Amino acid sequence: MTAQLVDARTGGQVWSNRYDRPATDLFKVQSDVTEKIAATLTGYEGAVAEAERSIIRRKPPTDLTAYESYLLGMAAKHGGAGGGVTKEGLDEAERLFRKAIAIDPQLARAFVGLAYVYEYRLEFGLGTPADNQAKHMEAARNAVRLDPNDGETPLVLGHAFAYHGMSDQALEQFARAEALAPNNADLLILIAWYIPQFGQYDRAVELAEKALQLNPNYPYWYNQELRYVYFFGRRFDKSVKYAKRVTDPFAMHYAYLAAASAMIDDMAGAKAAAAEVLRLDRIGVSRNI
Amino acid sequence: MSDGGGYSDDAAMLFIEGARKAGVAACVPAHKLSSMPNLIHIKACDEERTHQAAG
Repeated sequence: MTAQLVDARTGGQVWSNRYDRPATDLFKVQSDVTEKIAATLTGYEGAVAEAERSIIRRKPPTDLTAYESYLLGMAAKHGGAGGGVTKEGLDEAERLFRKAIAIDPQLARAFVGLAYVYEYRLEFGLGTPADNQAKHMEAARNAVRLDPNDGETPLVLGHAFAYHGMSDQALEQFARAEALAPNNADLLILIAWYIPQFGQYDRAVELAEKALQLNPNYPYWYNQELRYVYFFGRRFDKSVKYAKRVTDPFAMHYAYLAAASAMIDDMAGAKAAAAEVLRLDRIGVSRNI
Repeated sequence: MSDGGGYSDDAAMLFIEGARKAGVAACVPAHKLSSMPNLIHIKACDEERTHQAAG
């Protein structure tokens, strides 16, 4: 089976893929292929979003719609394909999300984007934690209020509850997000990333593996989540595998790589990763413990 | 190690076990604490620092 996505405006091919499956159960094959196509196309960096962004970038900034500003904000937030989160990228993302909200105050996804900005600032120690936490929660609550049936909104509210240590509320929102978007690979991996802190190690691995199954050509940032999920799921060999694929690693990445390598008795690998930890962060493993 | 905003005690212990086995300092030294007011403390590291301070 060959699937193609074509831009109707230009006739250009945006994406195509071929799926080989035994034709024993056509309905199962159809369902499986449909899920994979949707997961591949609809992620934050999926073919649809990237195609839209390539068109939007040619427009004058004054002509951008709210949704277009949101899409550019998401790209700025995560630094683009192969990029990474930066302070400047987050500042630009916040500006674009606020612009989107100014144009359309009902656009829930713009509040989702804003929630991510504050979450990443918390994660990377940028700004005041209390201020970021309050803004994170406010943006996430606004997102859910505006569109409770979009899986992305309970996902970010779950993250916000997690940052406030409200485990029951966080897990409730994650369950709702998964129910609303069970085949959204990005959403599943972002739930998997959070639930080890609530002791749900095997469930995190299960969700991560479903995300990988849905989106085998996953974006680079999955590697960070995967090395974390597999570490706490005690699949140290897989944690090492994905830790080595993290682009732009910082001290914490090497700390996980060192720990996971040591757990599978790869002491040479552990030693090399430990040296990188010391080179990148002289104060020790983390600013967070 | 607080990817995702936090960690459970047993998750923290698992990371510390691996880090120690790898020869990486798993806890921030006591003399660095004052420069990190937003530090999230975990029980095992607080105990280690207390133990070290007691000599």
